[in-house]
Amino acid sequence: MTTYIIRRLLAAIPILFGVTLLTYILVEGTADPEKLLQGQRSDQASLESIREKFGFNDPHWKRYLNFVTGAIQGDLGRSLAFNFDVATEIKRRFPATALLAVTALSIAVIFGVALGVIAAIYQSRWQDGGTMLISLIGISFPIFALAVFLQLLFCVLIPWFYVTGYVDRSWSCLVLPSVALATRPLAVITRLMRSSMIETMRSPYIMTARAKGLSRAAVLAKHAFKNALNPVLTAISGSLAELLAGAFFIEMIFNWPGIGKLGFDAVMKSDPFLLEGTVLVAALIFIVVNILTDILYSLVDPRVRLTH
Amino acid sequence: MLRLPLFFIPLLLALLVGCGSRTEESNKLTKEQVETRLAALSCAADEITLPDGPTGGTFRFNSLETPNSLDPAWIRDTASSDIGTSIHEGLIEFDPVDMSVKPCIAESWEISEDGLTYTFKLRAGVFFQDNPCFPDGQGREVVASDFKYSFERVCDPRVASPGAWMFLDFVEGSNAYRDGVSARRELERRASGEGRDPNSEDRFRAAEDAQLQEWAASPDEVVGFACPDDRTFVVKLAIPFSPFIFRLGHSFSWVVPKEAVEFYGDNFFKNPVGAGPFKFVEWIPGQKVVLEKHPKYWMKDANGHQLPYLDRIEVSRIEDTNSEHYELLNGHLDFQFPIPIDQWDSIFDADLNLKADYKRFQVQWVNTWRIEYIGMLNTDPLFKDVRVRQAFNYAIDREEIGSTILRYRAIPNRGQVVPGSMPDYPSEDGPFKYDPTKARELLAEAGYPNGQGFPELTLQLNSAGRDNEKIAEIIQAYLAVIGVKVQLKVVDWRVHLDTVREGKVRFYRLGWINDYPSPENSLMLVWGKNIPPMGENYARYQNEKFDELFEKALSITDIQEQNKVFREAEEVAVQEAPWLFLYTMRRFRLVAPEVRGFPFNAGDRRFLKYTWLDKSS
Repeated sequence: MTTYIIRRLLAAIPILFGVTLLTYILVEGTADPEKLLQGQRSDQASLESIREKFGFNDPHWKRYLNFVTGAIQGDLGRSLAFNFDVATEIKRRFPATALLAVTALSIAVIFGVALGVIAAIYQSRWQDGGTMLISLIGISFPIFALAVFLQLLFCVLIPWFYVTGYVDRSWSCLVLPSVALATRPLAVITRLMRSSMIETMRSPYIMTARAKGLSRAAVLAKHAFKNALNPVLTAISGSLAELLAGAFFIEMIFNWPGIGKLGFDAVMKSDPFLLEGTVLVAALIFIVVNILTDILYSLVDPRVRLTH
Repeated sequence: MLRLPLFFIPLLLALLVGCGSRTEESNKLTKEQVETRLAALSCAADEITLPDGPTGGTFRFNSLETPNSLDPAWIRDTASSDIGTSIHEGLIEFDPVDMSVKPCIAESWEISEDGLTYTFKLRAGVFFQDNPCFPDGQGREVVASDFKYSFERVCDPRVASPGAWMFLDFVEGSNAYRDGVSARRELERRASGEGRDPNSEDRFRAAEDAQLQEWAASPDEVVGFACPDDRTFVVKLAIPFSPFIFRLGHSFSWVVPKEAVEFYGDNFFKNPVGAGPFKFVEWIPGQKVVLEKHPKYWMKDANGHQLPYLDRIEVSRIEDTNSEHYELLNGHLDFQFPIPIDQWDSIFDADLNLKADYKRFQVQWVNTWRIEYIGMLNTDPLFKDVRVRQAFNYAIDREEIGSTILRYRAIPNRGQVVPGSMPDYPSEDGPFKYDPTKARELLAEAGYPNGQGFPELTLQLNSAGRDNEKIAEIIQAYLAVIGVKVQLKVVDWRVHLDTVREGKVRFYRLGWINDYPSPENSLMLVWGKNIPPMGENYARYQNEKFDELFEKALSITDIQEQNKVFREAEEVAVQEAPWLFLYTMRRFRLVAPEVRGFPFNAGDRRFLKYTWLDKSS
């Protein structure tokens, strides 16, 4: 297991290089960020001062190298537009995004798996039809539209929640953003769980178990459920990308002070260091989560060997 | 060349505006109709009124953008200045209603007859806000040397303030101070054996040591800023420049205590200390900024009640305008600006009356200082001919923009370089009424009958939302009528500004918002000495008569007199159509029912010290 983790982490290094290089080329290769900072009435002495402070006079290879060596030491530079230390700001914002993503994922998994199992057990009955209809709607509804719809319904028409805000305003602020963010993965998991469960229940070993005289509930709980979970786990790792992309919209709509909002600011202000920093951290999160799901996968299904 | 019939335009516009839109949207609104409907929107918050009961409470507003900095030397975006206005103050301020110049920390001032010396008498009893940067934590009194320090800081190339232009070139010794700092830095580097500094400005890097020594010998201060005593601050100008007084109301001219700048160092931008009506409490990036009443603030109202009335200001940071709107509806924000276009139809009916759900809100509107135009590179062989430029100006029906895409939000500009809402300025409507026949005649005179032989133009614009493109399409359609084909090219803002500045684009969209309420700040856009790289005359318009009048006005210290000469200069420029004039912006603000003393001025400066909450409403 340890060798596996080390190997995966080593494999991640070229990916991170690729991501940083691409971001660097896209962000810094195009224009002079200091001009944007100085506005229309910039003068040369001030521009020079900024170039010096941020090292914009260095050749590109050196600037990129500086960024990479800085990043390895945990220093992502200072935001050009907002003046703050990028690494500190990302560290400060990370818990907000993590809280949102974990809550959303928990909602999606718990309810998705439960609904999927119900739909499978009551296959072709009204419970199944209803669940599938809801999940169809969940998949089709764009996340930003759903978020606004939830705000309008539960904040303006029925004022149960705050329209925007973080948990420091009230813990109830967590409800709508995480529900909105959970909806799509929840719908996907429900459908997957249902089909996987149905397939498992048709396998010969389940019939054998039933023939042995085990109760239907015991078969479902002890044998079918665990095996049916495998494809769902893959789906969870896949939906994480979607979750992070979705968090970008959700954080903006609900004024959630996470990394997505920071990335938005970075794009709006064409802030090179902030943008490079947020992209790097997002890539890192993806890699780590992918490794974690793979490990989890092997725990659920021992047939999957981590060395492969 | 194909001549398009006139009926083609409404048809095209109908397509542009979209099939789903209401039929009356394609009907043009007359000027009178617009004015009557605007006049009907009365608003109690528009005037400065005195509260008749207990005051206090928290005022909440939202910032659609993240503020960059609360350090006056670095405040150049609206999000920062909206907050900074409450924390900081300067020698003068602007009237919250008409934006005329008013005394602030300077209770009076005198301008010498030659217009070169400004002597400010500072008010006694003006205190900085309490802060740990002061020895006993107590904010000390503001003295003249604080202004010298703050202004020199803006001029210092090491600070790299984007506001150095406020003082450079015309305050005595400002350029010498700047050169001195840069030269000493270059010399130090050479002395340390590191060689010429690749980061230096070209002329310092290229200069020989002797020349650098000469620069380095300049005093380490701006000699034009002097403080004979604690209550007197004197500014000496090198050349007469009467709009100087307006620049003192700009954020770059706000006063800061040296103690705070040194105490917080690189973090002063997020721990600001000033002499304004509200004290900074906290700033959580991406979430909120909180300010609190400054208990030692100097100003009192007519009843002797100390300002500000509010206890606290909370600025949230929501990007999404719909979320912002719902927060306003739920009573968690005190106003929304601008009103989101997506919500426009649910707030107003076609006649600009508030719909039932919004009747309780107040609506404010103002004609702003923002002008929008299409630049024509006057040095280009095509646009060198004044008749071509005039023809373009006659070819566009500006009412169309205000009636369709920017319904109520655009005031047609038939030829004004200075926005109509400038205080004390004798504005006049321009000469370019929509007249396609005249446009064709002028174009024919210039050698392009029905546009024959006129090359296809490319209109370069930056994409800011969808509006820029839609408006460009209208212009495209109108110019097609006189036989001029136009292609649109949308580019990134920085690329746009750089190429326009370098004179590489002959036809481009641009706008300008005045930094302060002086016509100088608009007319310099067509001043011959302001052609890039010197300044912002991107169209490279040049006219001796204009330059003469403009420069004459700069030396007149009486504002009324000065404005008359500025108006004469404007007249000269407008006749020659340096740009294709489009419109000036009108903006709307939706305000909570209880807000009072919160006027909406042309510069959108938010002076919250006059604001109070009427709990009875």
